[in-house]
Amino acid sequence: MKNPAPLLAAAVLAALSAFPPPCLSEDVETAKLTFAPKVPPPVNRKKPATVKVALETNEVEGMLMPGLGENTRYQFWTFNGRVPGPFIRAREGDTLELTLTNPKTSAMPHNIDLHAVTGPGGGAAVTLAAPGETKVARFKMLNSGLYVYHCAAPPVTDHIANGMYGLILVEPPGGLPPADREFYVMQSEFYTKEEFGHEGLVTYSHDKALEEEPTYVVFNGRFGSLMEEGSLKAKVGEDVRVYFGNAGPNKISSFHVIGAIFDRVYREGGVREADGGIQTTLVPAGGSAIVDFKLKVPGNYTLVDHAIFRLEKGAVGLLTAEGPEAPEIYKAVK
Amino acid sequence: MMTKRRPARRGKGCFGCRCLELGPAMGRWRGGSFIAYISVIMGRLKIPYGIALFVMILAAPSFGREPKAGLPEDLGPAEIDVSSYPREYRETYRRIFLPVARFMGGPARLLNSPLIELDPGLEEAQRARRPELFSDPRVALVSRDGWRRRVDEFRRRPPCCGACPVLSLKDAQALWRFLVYDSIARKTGPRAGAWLRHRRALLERFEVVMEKERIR
Repeated sequence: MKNPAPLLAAAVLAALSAFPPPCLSEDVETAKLTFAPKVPPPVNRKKPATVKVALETNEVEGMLMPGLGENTRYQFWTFNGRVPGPFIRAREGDTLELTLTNPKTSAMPHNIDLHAVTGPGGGAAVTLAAPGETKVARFKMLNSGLYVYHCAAPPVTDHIANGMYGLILVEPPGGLPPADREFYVMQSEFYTKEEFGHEGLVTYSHDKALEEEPTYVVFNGRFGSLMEEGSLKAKVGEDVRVYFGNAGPNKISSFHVIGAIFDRVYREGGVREADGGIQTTLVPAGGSAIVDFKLKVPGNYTLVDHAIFRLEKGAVGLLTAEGPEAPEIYKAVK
Repeated sequence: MMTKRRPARRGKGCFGCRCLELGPAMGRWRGGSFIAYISVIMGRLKIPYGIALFVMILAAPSFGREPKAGLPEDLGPAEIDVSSYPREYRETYRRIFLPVARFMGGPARLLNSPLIELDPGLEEAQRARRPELFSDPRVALVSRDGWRRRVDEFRRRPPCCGACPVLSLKDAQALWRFLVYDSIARKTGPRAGAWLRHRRALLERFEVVMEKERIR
């Protein structure tokens, strides 16, 4: 054989076409990650791709509740420095290439269990990273839906209780019906040795978590995160979608928006079908729901867990709708 | 025919009903007898209206009774004179305290509360100079964080119906500072004696009211 190169090249191409690595058969893109309450834009892709997601586990001290004198501070365990972790958006059929980095300064190993992943531990088995390590794994998104992800390093209870969770949306191939505004809201509990509202640094109480008596029940990681300057904004006439997750670790949420009735509820994060005309939807610990509603009257709409005393522990948020009055729908007469 | 006149001022003998808008003569009859009032009403109005009004007056729940009180402090005044307070607290009183107090049990309940919040230094000074402040918590309740807790408790109840005020963190801090300042200004130091007498009077009056309620 005078020049084996062309033959060799042909053989290699034939082999590759039989077992194509994702990077050759699919587009590769970097996931746009956002923090609550923001949501990345819809995936406008007609075919699957490899989606790269980079997460870093951080243990950070942050504010749990603003105080009159001094803030209530807590040592959170986080993905990418925030509670909840970033919102990941992908499409059914995508390959998620996840890079999990655990900095050298961490005190413990971390990993990730994505409820969207089919396989041992939801990915936890192949992503356990000790401090200073980085793990990379690829997962095929076989099922569309809104899924919780969380750290599952032992003890998984403590890792969830301290803030290591977030949401991943795997869109169906045609995408979800369009919405004018999308929000990311995640409910979770915090268990502290100190009483509610204690100003200064508070510490995690494993005993209270075992007793399932949360000190705080909050939206988006802290008391009042969706109030005052953090309140959600929308306009009358807009279709609003809330991607609602419940990290638990213990309590079921009765999610309700005061003043609104859900036009569509994708119960428990499943996107194959939706129910309408729902006032309050149950969201289990480790579960989610997608709720759509149209804003028809201006004013304040309050997001609550309708186990209503939890609003005094922080499970409350505000959505303000601006726009023209609608006296034919809502009017004071006397 | 009824002519609309300048409403009479409320005073002794006022029944708190619209009959006082019928004429200035009514306003002059402060302290006037009940029969005299009714005679004028029945004279000025057509008799059936007069009879109906007479019945309404008798049935009026507040007629001849003490105001409803859940706590002794509810029997005290619902306003105070803040003209000598620093500007910040006068503003807070007008802009935050009065509107919000309605949703915290009422301004009377807050203004006449025995609660006094003192930091450790002030508490020590008051113990030395006014030991009577610490003898009966029903009369004076000294605490390190009492008002902070009360305001925090209210702050934890954000509006669900859209009709209640939203207490922002900044307003909550202002309200807390005002309540602390006010409790020190009116209840400690040279005014402690007057405060203690006022609280004791409220407690006694409350006992009387509760006794009447029990009998009824």
